[in-house]
Amino acid sequence: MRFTIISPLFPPDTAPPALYTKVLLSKLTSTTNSVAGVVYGHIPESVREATIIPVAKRMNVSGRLLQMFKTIRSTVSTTDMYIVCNGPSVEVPFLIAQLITSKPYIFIVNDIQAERTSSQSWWKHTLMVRLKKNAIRTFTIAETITPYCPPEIHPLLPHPTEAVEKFTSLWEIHSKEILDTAYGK
Amino acid sequence: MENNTTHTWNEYVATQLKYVTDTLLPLGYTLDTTQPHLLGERFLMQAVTTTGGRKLILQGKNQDNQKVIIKVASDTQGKDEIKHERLCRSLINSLNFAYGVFTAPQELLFIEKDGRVIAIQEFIEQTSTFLERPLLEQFDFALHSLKAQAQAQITTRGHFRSISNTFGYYEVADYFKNADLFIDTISSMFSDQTILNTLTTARNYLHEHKERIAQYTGFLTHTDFVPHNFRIRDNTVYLLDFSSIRFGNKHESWARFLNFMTLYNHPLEQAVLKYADQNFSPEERESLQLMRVYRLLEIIAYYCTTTKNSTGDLLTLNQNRISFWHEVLMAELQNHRVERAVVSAYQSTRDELRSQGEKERQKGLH
Repeated sequence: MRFTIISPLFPPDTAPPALYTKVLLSKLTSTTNSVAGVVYGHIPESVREATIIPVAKRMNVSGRLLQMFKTIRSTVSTTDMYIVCNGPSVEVPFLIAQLITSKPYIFIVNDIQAERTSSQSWWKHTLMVRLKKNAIRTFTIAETITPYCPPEIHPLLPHPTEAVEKFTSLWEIHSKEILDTAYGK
Repeated sequence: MENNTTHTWNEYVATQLKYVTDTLLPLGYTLDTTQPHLLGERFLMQAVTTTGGRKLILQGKNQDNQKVIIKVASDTQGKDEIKHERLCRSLINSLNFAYGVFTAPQELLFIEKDGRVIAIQEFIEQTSTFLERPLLEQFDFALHSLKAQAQAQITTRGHFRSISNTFGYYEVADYFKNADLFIDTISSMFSDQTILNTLTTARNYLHEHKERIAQYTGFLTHTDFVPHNFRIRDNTVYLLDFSSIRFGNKHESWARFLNFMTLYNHPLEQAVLKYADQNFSPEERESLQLMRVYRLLEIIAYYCTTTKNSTGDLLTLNQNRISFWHEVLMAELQNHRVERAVVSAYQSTRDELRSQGEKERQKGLH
């Protein structure tokens, strides 16, 4: 299956949802699926065997959304399933693109802060509800996203074996759930 | 022997001290009789990329006998530097995407009169200097501060608008322009083929990795993030110098810190590098290496500019510094660390050649 992950955040951005998206991309790439990423940023970090298409963020809001919309549209013919990470800068252009060509998608709420902000605005909240309603499944990452981010290795302290094991097993379950959903299992 | 630069500096200091003493006394502030920040090589210090002002940093006390830091300048660049630093300090914590990155000592007084600017801040007492702390504490404080800087990133046009008029913003072109300036400064003083070859290698290395430098720009960075520019009280890092904040490559501050630790604390340098090796992406690690090279060119160029105002032991010392940092640069271009024997030999020479005043100035500095 050909996946395209759409995300408002991606490394070099240091926010945890950016780290989450990079791990998600690499986990799906390690399967037999073909994976692409459409992400906001100037020069995103690379993930082996994944195509990452950057969308410039340093422009006015309407220009940025239009650019994201055009990029999403350009991926339609090479995508079987979208995976959309939450954030208004992605939700708006994705919903508009969906009006033209409806492709199945999985919605992932991995930025709780962005979700909270959206819930305070009527129109952003409406978009979010609609996205959740039309998604084949919505995954909401719990209050703390930290266990989904690569554990930090401190050079002067013992290796964080427990955190690494938790990270590995969490992602084993999480990526399997996403793939099972995509394949209708 | 006193040369022209020293003489001019001493005259400037004497004039300022008299003025500050007379001005601050009625306001309840007195100057300490010993002023360590005026001693030794302070008169030489001037950044390579800026004109740099003659700003004096003085120690004193308020009427409650509490220690204070007094910054004073009468020349245009020095006054601008103090005012710019003040602006940066107040603005940095008003940016929603950079709030709380740095803690500043409290400002007690700011006056601008008689063609001078005087700024007084509380003195941050600390139980020990940064380098006297256990290695683990040093590492944790450093990492926390370096990571906090990286959390402030310009991603949108709105962010850019809010910082562009106050803080500097460096793109790849700015790094290349400066690197060329550093290389020109160094090569104008040396015909030694080994040094010239190193400069060519360094220039090519930076240019071949243009995209990597660009990839990590847009981050808040403190270009002089070394222990004499911050103090720690109650587990809080207080930044003393806000004039070196700019938005640029994320690893500028890391690189400056690592280059400093090559000389002052090798185990800490090793720990930070191990952290980078184990936690950074390959691209990020490469960006750090590029910035180390860039900052090493800067330090060599800096010491080249100091030689023209140095005589005697100080001149010999600055020539040794150039050779030493050149050795470090050659090693870093291979992504190796300089031999410890080279560091030890340089440290011995430096300690022999440093003036008594400079030794006094260095006490408790880091």
